[in-house]
Amino acid sequence: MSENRLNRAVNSIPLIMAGNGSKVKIKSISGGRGLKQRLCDLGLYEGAIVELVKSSISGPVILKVLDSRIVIGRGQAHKIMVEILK
Amino acid sequence: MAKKRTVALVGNPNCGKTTVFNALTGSRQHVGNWPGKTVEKKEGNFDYMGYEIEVVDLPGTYSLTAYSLEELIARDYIVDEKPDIVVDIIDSTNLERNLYLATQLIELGTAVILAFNMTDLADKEGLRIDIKKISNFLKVPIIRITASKGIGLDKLKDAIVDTITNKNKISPKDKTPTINYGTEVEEHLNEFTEVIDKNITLPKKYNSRWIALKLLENDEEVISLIKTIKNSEIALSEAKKIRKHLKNIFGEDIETIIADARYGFIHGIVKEAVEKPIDRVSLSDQIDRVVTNRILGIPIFLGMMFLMFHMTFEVAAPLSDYVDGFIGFIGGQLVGLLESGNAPEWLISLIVDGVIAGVGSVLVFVPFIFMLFFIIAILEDSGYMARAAFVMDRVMHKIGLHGKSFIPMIIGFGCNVPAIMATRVLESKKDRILTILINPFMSCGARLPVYILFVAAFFPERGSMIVYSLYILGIIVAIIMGFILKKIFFKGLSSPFVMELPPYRLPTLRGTITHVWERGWLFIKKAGTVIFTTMIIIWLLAALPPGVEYGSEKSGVGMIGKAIAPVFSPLGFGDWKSSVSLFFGFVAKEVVVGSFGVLYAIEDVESPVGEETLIGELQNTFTPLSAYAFLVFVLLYAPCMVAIAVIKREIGWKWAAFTAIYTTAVAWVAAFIVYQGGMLLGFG
Repeated sequence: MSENRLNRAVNSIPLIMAGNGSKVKIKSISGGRGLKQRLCDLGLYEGAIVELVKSSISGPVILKVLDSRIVIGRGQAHKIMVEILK
Repeated sequence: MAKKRTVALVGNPNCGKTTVFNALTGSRQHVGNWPGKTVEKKEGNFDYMGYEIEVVDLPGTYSLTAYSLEELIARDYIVDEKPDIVVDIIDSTNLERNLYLATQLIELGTAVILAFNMTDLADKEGLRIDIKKISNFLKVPIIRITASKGIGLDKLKDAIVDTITNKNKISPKDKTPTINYGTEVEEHLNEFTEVIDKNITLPKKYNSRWIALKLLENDEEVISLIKTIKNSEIALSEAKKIRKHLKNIFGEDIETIIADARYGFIHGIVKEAVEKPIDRVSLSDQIDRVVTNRILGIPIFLGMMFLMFHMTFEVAAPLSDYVDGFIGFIGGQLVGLLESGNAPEWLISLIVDGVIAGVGSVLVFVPFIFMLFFIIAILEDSGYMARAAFVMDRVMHKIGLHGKSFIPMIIGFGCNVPAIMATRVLESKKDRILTILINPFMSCGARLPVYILFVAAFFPERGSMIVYSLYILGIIVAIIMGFILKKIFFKGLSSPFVMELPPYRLPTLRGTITHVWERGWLFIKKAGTVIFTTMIIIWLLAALPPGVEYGSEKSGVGMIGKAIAPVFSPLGFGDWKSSVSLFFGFVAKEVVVGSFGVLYAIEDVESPVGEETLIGELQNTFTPLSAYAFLVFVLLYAPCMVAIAVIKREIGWKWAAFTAIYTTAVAWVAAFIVYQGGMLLGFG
């Protein structure tokens, strides 16, 4: 288990650092329960595989989640750690 | 007597739920209120096979966990009020997301029917959906419909009656739960369910497995519900124990495990039952690449806004002439009738000077307002509005709000009343209040008549420039005031911005017209009631006390006007007639024009002769500079009574009173700066 945690920390980068068009797996979401639940209801939960459609140097980012496009604010995107799949 | 049953329509935002509601109930709709809440409840009904089916249209929601006011309404209704049947409208082109809510409804144990909507679009995209397979997995009936074309609705009605009479072949006879959360979780879930069954008496409408699951998920609403029941501490401490235990085993929160299982289950079904053509680069994505571009995004948005106003003026102006001709015709007929019937002179004066001059001059602007609503509806229904929210997020961030708050601001260009109601989609109360407080600065359609009248009188050459400058001034003041109010009242972090970008869709004419009508009707109703009454009051005050010359300084309005005029003299319009019109403009801003009409006793403001007389009168009263200061004041001062009433309903009378006062103060200061500044610069 502790190994599991370590792995996570080593492989994960903040979502906004992943390049546009990359497929990522969500490793962890830090933030309040409300935010986590909200994101989960839209298909963003730890373990979910999503695509980063668009992230610029500022402003919100667009993700492809469950076949639809979800916008999340930059602040929230900072709280999502991901592992790049391809 | 037909037997009555209740059916609730639920679904994600943008699933076409309202179209289904309209298709099912047609014209048999009414708007009521949710008990204990001030939000209106859309209901309708239809008769089918001996049943009277009451249909309730619930606000769109992604899950049964509520964040915004609208979602809370949907959740409470389904969980607590328990309609006989819940029909979940599913966007067939977006099954995985839409089925998430469906699984929650199924787990809750309500009688669910899934209506797979927009099957025509799914077919077009080449999706092949095996309805039967999905229905077997989920153990609920599924009906294919295309509500926009009226396809499949009878089958949906059949399914509703079948569910009522329990004739559905797939009624959940076997009690095995639909979703399996894996051995480890299931074991604890079952044990916990037994603990709950043994120790506490749940109200009949809840099933214990669902309660157990929700307690393990730490659902706040369910926890507070359980707390009201005897022996709840046993269940709550057990839940805590299991949560801790499972976290130790999996190294993850149970919420994550449950979410993973749910989405995994849905993903499995969709993989089994849906054939998709290999990855399509959708048109939506291609459009988004341009529209949400970092550099192009804002110019494109501004272009859209320019186009919106340009079209409003170009298309609506000739229509407005027709309305005007029609009102003139009716007025003429009416006067003829009254005169031939030897009606008393005061009655003719009331009709001509009061009603026709007042209400008529307001109705002339109906085409402008409907056109604005029409374009706003297209922006919403096509999916562009969400992109505008995305693009404007960076700007809105500066005042501590996020992009979603921008949508009510655009709707405010039509009318502030629906705009204030549109803030219900915002999750945070603080965001909602702040968005409402700055909304009145968005120049609504009712202010347009005033601009048009004054532009014709003072700025015939640069008319559109002047009007646009006012719209832009409104936005700038909204942003500045948002910034200040945030600093005073709403310090702290901004709320998260999470929003779906719906795929672009061609708006249907019917859908758009429904939208326009719903909002536009509010305006006509206002003209027919509030404005009508105000006009009669102004007429009365202008004609009284008896024997006074109509509309003179010694009449009632004259006295009111003279009393408040000193307040406005530093702004350049201290004459009593404009003071009166501003005073009554609080009722509705169109009244400003109407009351000029009444005060100068001009039968028909928009008729060539009438307009010229009024313009002449205005030119004698205002200079171009004081006219512009007057327009700035009209733009910014207290929103109309109807808007204030809606603010009170939505966020309480204190904020409503605050809005009326602070906006008027802002208006005074701004008009003062314009007038006095203009004088200093020599524009006087």
